[in-house]
This record gives sequence, structure tokens and C-alpha cells, in this order.
Amino acid sequence: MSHTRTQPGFGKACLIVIVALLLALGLLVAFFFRIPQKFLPSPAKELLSGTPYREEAEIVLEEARAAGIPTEGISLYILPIKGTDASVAYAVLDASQGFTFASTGGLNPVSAMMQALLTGPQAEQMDIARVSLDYRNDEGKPLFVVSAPSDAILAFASGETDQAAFSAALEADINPGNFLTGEWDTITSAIR
Amino acid sequence: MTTFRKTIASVMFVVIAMFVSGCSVEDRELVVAFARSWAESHGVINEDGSPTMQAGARVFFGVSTGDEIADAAIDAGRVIKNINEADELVSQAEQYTYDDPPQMDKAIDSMNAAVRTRPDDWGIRNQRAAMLIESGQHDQARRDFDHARSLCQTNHCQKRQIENKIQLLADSLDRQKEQGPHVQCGTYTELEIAYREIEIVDDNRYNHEAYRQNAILMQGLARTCRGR
Repeated sequence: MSHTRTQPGFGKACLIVIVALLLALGLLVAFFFRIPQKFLPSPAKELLSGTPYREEAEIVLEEARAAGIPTEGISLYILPIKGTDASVAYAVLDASQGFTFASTGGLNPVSAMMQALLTGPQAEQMDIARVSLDYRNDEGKPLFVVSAPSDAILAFASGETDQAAFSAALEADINPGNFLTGEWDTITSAIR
Repeated sequence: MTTFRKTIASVMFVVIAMFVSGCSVEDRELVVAFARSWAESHGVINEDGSPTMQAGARVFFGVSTGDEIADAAIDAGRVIKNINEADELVSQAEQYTYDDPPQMDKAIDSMNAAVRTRPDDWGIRNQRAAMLIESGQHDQARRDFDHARSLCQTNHCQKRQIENKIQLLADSLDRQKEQGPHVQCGTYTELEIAYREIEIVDDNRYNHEAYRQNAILMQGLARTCRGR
């Protein structure tokens, strides 16, 4: 009789624990795939929603191509920063559109790409405060974004600072959900 | 446990190297070394190469840099998506204006959707205003041009906005002339306003006298305009 009395109580507690665990797991998975973050206020929408420099971006990209940087699969956006004359250069490097990093012959490919977008005649006329690179995989899914202030890029390029200083100035964000879904084969083959 | 965490970190770096598989072995090694150096300097891995708690926080939540411009520069992919959506709507609207006869109502509907997508983009408001003038809705166009100007908080932005307005109105004028002998008189009136606005912008690249002459010319054309 006492056995039948304790059984339902244990079952309820167990159910609550299971539901709580499932909820916690669901939340973690949702954060992992960056779902809640999509509904949070976006600093970019607040600061970078002005009219982009379209023609200037085309010229900057053309000048990078002329300087020997392969620009296939690159879309460049130069976004004005609200309330200032400065801007952010945001390059989408899309492997699904044919982008591959060029061989840089001993230079850091990330800084070499950033430098190329910053040092052409058109870019030098503009007040570009930061350069961001948004890498997308073979399916066009965003994997990571790296961003550095222009002065850190130029200082590293001219040899004034070393790689440690440049990487300290570099900010990055990865999209773990797309890593997992898009690059799973790459990861597993790398482990094997 | 530490070995396991080190393995995870190593796999991460191998994966990063895969992205630059088009590069030489030397370049790939550079990228891996760079990724390690970045992860160390940002507290993502320890000196022994194992991921820290911050690595978990970055994976699940992302981390603010503490600098709003840096955060915006990283998050700008959301703005890019927005720009591309609006661009599609604008190009749809442009197609309608090139139809024979132009389908201005449909063009303006597409521009309305583009403005809703990017309400802070003065370029799109300028473009809608030019189309509104072409369809004879001068008052709404004036409101759009005024709103577009109010979105600019710096002198440099105002210059870009007025230059863009002049270009759009000049293109509209050409298009209207191709379609018949008469044009919407509001086009001349707005061009006159734009030339007067740019005349007072302080920029030594500008030929202020030429702008003054253009403003007078447009004023005359607006007075004698018979309209469509």
C-alpha cells in the first residue's frame, strides 16, 4: 500500500526533472544555433543602417583586384557609422560563389585581405574605421566574422607591430550551429 | 580531461586551416598559428592550449567586445541581409518604371516595401521621392526628400544625399523626356531646390556659380512648365 503511495510522487518529481533538463537542453541548443540572438537588438542596425557607399565599394574592390587579390566570391559593403563621417568596410567572402584565400607567400592571409581593402587610392580617401571579413562556406552559410580597427591593420602591415598585437586587436565571432551542420564532414575527417 | 580539451582545441584549428585549403601548406600553418595566437590573446584557450570557460560562453552566447562600433562591425551581416532585400525591391521598382507605359503605381508599391525594410536609408527615400514626382505626387515626394535630408547628421552625409537627389532627378527628367514632350513640373522645382541646397554646402570641389546658374535655369523651367 505504501509502495503505491510513493510511486506517483516519485513519478511527478522525476517528470519535473526530465522536463527541466529538456528545457535546459533546448535552451542550450537554441543559443548554440544563435536563435534567441536573432531577436535581440542589433548594434549594427542601430549604427550602420545608413545609405552604403555603393560606387566607392566597387572601386575599392576593383583596386584590390588590380593589386593582385582574387576578388571572385567577394561582396564588399562600405557602411557609414551613424553620426560620423567614418565607415566600416564589411567583406563577405563566400566560398559558394567561388571565394578562396589567395596564397600570400608568407603573409597572414587575414591581415593581407584586410590590408588590400584598406590601402587602395579610393579606400585611402575614405575614413574607414574598421574592416570586417565574413567567411561563408560552400553552402553560403556564415561561419565566422573577424574584424579589426584600420590603424591596427596598417600598423601590422607596415611592420610597426607584431602578429601578437594584431591578433589582440582582432575581434571574432563564430557561428557554431553552421560549423556543426555545414562542416561536420570536415571535422570528422580531420579527427580520423 | 586536459588532453581531451586540448584535442578539441586542436580540431578547431585544423578546421580553421581547412577553410584556407586553397592556400599553400605554409599559408595554412600561418593561419593555424594566427588562430592560436588570437585564441590565447582573447582568453579563449589557456597557455597549455585547452579551451577556457570563455570559449563556452563565446560558442553559446557570443561575447560583446565592449566597443559598440566593434560589436556593430561584427554583427553587420544582419544589415547586409537587409540591404540585399531592399536592393531586390528597388530593382523591381526600377523595372516597372522602364515598362512601356511605365507602371508607376507598382513601382511605388515596391519602393514602399523597400523603405519599410530600410527606414534609415536616405538613398531609398530619395529614389521613392523621384518616382513619386514622376507619377505626379509632388507633395509626398517633398516629404520624402525632407525626411531623407533629416536622416543625415553630418555635412558629408548631406552632400552625398543632395548629390544623389540631383542625379536621380536628372535621370528622371531624361526618362520623362524620352516618353513625351511634357514632364512633371515638380521635377524642375525639386531640381531647383536641390541646386540651391548644394550651393550652400561648403565644399571647394563644387562649382558654386554653376549650381547657382542651374538653380535659376530650373526655376525658369518650373515657371513655364505646362506639365503632363
